[in-house]
Amino acid sequence: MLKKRIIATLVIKNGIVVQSIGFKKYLPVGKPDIAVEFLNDWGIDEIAIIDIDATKKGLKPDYKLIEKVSKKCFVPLSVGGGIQTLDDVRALTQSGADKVIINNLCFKSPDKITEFALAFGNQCIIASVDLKREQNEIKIFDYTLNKTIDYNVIDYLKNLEHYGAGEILLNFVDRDGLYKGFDIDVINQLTNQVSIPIIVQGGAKNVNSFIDLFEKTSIEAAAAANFFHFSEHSVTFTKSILSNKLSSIRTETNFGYSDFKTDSNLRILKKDDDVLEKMLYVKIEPEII
Amino acid sequence: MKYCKRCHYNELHPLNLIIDEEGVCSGCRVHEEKDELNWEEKSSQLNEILNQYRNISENNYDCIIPVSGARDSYFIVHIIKNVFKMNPLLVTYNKQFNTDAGVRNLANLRIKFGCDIMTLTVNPESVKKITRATMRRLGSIYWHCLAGQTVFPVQIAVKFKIPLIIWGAHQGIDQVGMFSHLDQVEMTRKYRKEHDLMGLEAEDLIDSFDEITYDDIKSFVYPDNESIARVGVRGIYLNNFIRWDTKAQHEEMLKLYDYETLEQTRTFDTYNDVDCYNYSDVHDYIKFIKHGYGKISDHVNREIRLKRLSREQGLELINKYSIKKPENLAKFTNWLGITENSFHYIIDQHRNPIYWRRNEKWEWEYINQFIEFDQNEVDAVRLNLVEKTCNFNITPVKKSSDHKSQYIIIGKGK
Repeated sequence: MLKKRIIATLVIKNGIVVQSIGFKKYLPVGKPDIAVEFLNDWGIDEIAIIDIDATKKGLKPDYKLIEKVSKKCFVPLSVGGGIQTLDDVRALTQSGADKVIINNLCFKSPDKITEFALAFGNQCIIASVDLKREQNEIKIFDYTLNKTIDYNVIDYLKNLEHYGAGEILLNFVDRDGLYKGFDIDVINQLTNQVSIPIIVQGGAKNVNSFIDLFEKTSIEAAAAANFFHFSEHSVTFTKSILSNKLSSIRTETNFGYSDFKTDSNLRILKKDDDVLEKMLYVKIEPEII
Repeated sequence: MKYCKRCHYNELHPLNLIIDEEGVCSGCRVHEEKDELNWEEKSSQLNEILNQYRNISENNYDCIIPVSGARDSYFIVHIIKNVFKMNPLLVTYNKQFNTDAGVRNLANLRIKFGCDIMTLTVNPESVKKITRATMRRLGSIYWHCLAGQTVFPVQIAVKFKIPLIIWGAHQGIDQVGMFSHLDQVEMTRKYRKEHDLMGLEAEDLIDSFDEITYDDIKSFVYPDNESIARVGVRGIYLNNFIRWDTKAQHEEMLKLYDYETLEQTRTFDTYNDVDCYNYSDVHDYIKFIKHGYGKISDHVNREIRLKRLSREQGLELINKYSIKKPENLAKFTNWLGITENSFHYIIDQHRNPIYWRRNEKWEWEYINQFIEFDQNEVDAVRLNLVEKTCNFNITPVKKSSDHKSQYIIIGKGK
C-alpha cells in the first residue's frame, strides 16, 4: 500500500517564506533554504515551493533560489509560480525541481499541460486548483483576478487529468491560514472523480486535522504551510502522532514523538517525572550518516 | 524602498517585513493584536501549560529560565516564580562584555528571587577566536553571545531532563510580526540558526584560517534531535500569553525588586541591555553600518506601537541617536587584541552599499533612503497616543566594583 504523504508548502513572496492568511494577509517567516533544510531534517515527505507573486507580476521563476534550495533538499521538490513555457519547466528541473506546479496556465492554455507532460512525463506536472465556497457552492478561484470563475469543478478536474496532469493540488482559499481543518465534505465529493492522486491543502490546524482527513477521506496526500513553522520538529511530531493511528505514514527519522501525550492545543506534554529521572544518566549516541 | 507608514521600518529589515496595501507593516499589524486579544484567557492557557510541567517527585526543577543582568529577566522570573509559583532553574550565558550594573542586577536577581542559577563562561581565548571569525565572516561581534544565550538553556534542559524553557518576548513577533500571537510559536533550532546565528552554526565556524577547532566551539553545539525529542524539550515565549510591554514591565521591576537602570550610548531606553558594554554601543553601531538602522529604531517603533511616541517624535530620536559614535570601542578592541583601524577595516567589508557611500573627502556618508510620505496617508494609519510622555527612569548607581578599564568576567554574590 502506498504511504500517505505529508507535504510542506513554502509560500514565497519577495523571495522569502511567508505565512499566508486568506490569500491576502502575509507574515514574513524567513529564508527558503533554511526552511527546506529543517523540513528535511524533520522528515517531511515532499516540499512544494510556490511563488505567489511571479505570475501576477509577470516574472519568471526564481531559478537561483531553487538551485540554492535544492542543494539542501533530499525529498521530492515541486516548484510553482511564474511557469509559462516549456523552457521554464526545463530550467526549473535543471535547477533541481522534481515537479512543477501550474495553476493559472491550466485555464489559460491547458494544452501546455500536454506539452510539458510529453517532454517531462505526467509525474512532473502538478495542476493546482484554488477552490472557494460561494453561496455554499464550491467554485474555482482565479487568484490573479481575485474572483471566482464559472467552471464546473468536476469537469475541470477531469480535464486536467485528460490533458496529462500527474497530480492535482486542491487549495482551499476560505481556509487558508485560518486553521479550520480540511474541508472534508468537498474533498469527499471530489476525490473519486479523477484517477490521478490529489493533494489537498488549506486549513490544517494541527495533527488532528490530518487524522481527520486520512480517516474520513481516501486522499493520498495532504499539505500544510503555516503550522509547520510554529514548533520544534513539527513535522516529526505530526508524523509520530499520525503513525500511532495509521499504519500508512512514513517515519524514517531516527527520532520521534510516538511516546508523548499531547495537550488540548496538540503540543507535546511532559513525560512523567520518573521516566525523565531514569533518563538522567542514559547516554544518547547521535546518529551519524 | 518601501517604508511602513506607521513605524520606521522598511522592507529590508533583516528579520524580513511585509508591507500591506495600506502601507502598514506586518510588525505593526501583529502588534495590533495586543489590544484585541483576551489576555486573561491567554494567561489561563499559560497556567494550563505550566501546571503540566510542575515537578511532582520534588527531585528536579519545574522549568528553565534563561536570564541576564537585564532585558526582562526580572519580569520573567517574577511571573514564573512569584505569580505562577513555579520552581525554576535560572541559567545564564556569560557574555563577558559585562557592565557593573549588569553584574549587580544578576546578583540582585538571585538574591531577591531566591533561585539557583547556572552560568556558562566559555574560555575567553575561544570566545575571542570566535569573535574574530564572526567579525570577518558576518560582521558580527555578538555571535557568541547570541549563540551562547540560545544554546546553554537547551543543553541544560537536555542534560538535567527539565523539558520546559521559558523565554520572554519572541523578537520575530514583536519586531516584524513573523507570527501571530495566536500561533503560539515555540522555540525552534531553525529560528535560532536563521536569525540568532545569522545562518552560521557552531560547526560551520571550524576553520584553519581562523584557527578554530572543534574544541573552541563545542560549548556552542546544539543538542542533537534525538536528545531533544527524548526529553521533549519545549521552549515557550511569554509574549504569546502576556501583553508584552517591556517599559511598563521594567518600571514595575524597578519598584518591586530594585532593578538597576543605566544610561546607554545609542538609545533612550535605559532598561533593556544595561548588562552589556557593547549591545547598545559597538554592536549597535555595527548594526547601523550593516543594516542602515540601529537599536534606536527598534525602540522607537516599539514605543510608537505601544502608543507612547508619535511617528514624528520617533523620527527625531532616530536622527539623534543613530549617528552617535560608540563610546566603548577602545575597550572592545583592547579585549580582542586588534587595533581600531583593523576593526574599521573589517566592519567596512560589511558596510551596506544601499545606505552608505564615500563622499568627496573619502569619508562614509549615510544615504537616507526614506522619502517622506503624504501627511494624510500617515494620519490614516496613525495610532492615538495613550500616554503623553515616554520617559525612561534612571536609578541611582549602586556601589561600584568596576575595574573601568576592562570587562568584569564574573561578578560576586553581594
